[in-house]
Amino acid sequence: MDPTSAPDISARIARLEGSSRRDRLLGVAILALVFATAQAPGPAGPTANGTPVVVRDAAGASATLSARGLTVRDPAGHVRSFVGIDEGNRPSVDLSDTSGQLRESMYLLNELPVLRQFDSAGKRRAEMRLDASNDGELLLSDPNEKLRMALFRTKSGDPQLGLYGSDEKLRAYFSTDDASPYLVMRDNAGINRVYVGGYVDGSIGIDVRSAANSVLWKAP
Amino acid sequence: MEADLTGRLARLERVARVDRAFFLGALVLVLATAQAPAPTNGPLTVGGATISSRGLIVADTAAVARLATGMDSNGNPGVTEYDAKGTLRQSMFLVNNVPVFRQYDPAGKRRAELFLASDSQNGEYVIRDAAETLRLGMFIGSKGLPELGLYGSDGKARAYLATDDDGPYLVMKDTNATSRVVLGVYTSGAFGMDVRNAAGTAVWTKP
Repeated sequence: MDPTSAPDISARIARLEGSSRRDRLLGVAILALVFATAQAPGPAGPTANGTPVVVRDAAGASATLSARGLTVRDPAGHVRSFVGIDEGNRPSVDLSDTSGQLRESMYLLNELPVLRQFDSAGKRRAEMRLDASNDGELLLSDPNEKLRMALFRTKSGDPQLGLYGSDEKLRAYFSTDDASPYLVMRDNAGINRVYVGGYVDGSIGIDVRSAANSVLWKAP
Repeated sequence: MEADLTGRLARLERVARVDRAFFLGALVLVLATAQAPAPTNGPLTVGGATISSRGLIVADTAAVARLATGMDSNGNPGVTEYDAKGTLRQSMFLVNNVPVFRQYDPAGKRRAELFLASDSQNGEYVIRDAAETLRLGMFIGSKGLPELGLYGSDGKARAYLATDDDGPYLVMKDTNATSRVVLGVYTSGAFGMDVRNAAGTAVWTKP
């Protein structure tokens, strides 16, 4: 051994020893971190870290639980049902057909509850909801989304059944106030042609009117 | 001096081997416990809630399924609610891609439902009695006309109020399904009313 190199080797070994101690300390720290944060890889339960949980079967159907809700897809990959908070931040239950077209939805629209049914073209055809006054309504519409039939409460609070033409104009309505009920039938010009029930003067009767709205017959 | 250096080197080599094994062990642990959102094949259960590939079922503390959502065995999506006895009481679902909202009594009979007709896709709301006989229907018929129908316990129409674009009409029938009162627009376009006898002959007409 070269005596002049001994101090140099000694210094290098000293550095190595120091480095080794630091590495060991670092390793212990990493291990402590792993133990503190590691999770068991067993059957995946709902996670608290926002990671979606996916359950899939052999056919390819799957259910995905995310922070927004539960989404179920059929083997073709189409979303068939969703329960949770939708993209508009509305709590919602959505059912879609085999092509993935939304066909039925129950949700809060502007904080008002709605159950809505759609045809295969995506048109609203039937719905049950609360209106802006929180009164219940049942509405049926045609393939053009024109309202054709409605059960609702009027602005004055009277319950009413309304029937509408293909122009969405009222043809008949059956309603009541506290005094008496009344049935009104209209032609396509919007003229009342038949009136049965309570009149505004408090009397009750029946009349038939012409297209010019003149009374043709009245009783009593 | 040389002996001292040799001893220190030997210790360093030993320490290095231990450290290497230690780090390898830590690496194995990290890899073994890493969490990826890998799909699972089996159902997941949290208390009474079970998620399978077909949806979610929630059971009460008596282990009775009270709510289910997802796809049924026929692949129809829906949400169903059951009473404490496990009887289906309310469901919202698609059957053959047609939407239905249906309510059931404790005997499991359909009592009220809102749905689209399977052929025309027109909306219908119906109320049935305990025998599941239709007693009230509010719908858009096959000809596209809105109609309210009232039915006897035999399921036959007793009254209906409908309209076409020309005008509405109200018809009242007896148990033999004979129209006895007609009010509104006639096929001629005229408005009026009449009362008919059991044979269907008008006995009073106005105007």
